[in-house]
Amino acid sequence: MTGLFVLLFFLFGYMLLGIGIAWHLKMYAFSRSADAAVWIFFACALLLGTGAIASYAAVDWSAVLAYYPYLFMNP
Amino acid sequence: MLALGPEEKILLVLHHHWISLVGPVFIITLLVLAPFFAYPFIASLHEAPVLTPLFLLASSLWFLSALLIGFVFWIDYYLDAMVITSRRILTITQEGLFKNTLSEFSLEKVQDVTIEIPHFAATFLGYGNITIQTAGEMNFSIREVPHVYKVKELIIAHARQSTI
Repeated sequence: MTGLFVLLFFLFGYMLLGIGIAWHLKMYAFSRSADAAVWIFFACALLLGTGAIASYAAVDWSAVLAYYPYLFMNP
Repeated sequence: MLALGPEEKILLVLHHHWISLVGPVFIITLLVLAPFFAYPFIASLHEAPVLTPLFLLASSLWFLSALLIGFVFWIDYYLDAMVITSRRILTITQEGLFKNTLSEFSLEKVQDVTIEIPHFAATFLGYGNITIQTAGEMNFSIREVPHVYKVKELIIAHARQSTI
């Protein structure tokens, strides 16, 4: 569950940063192409974010830990 | 959005020449291709069935980062511009993610427009640097912009019109 929390935290931070950048762009934009760029960015980000969550769900963590027990070992 | 005065029209929005995007596009291309180059190595490992979903997860996060970097590059290109309206010239400079500087002066104050074509590549690809000197002894410049001669003609023509 910690891994999922870290992933969701990353995606949440990414979303906040993306919204901040898009807001900044819309503040200073002087043509409609900025709107198109924002839509493309958010569509791609949504697709990749969903893909990341789906990939996380597809990982067999017990098998990963069996192969690489040192990966998530506490120091 | 730019607030225009009554009867004010945008004559030209001048962005950098596409040559300034070559470096960022190259970086983004490398970032996007990196997982595709790494995948055959992962697939050849004995633990490939276990590692492939993990690799897809890492790739998704990698592509998300590349997307954000690409978006920031594009914003830097898009918001770095000179806007020529029928009454004034605005130079907009975007630095980093959130720093945006806007300077403007009326066309009446234009005293001199200087064009610099810095090297052979600029001559060949048709771009250059424009410096506008104003009555306030301030210089405004934008580097690596296309159609410099047409821009110069446009500025001078409208500066003359506005002083008549």
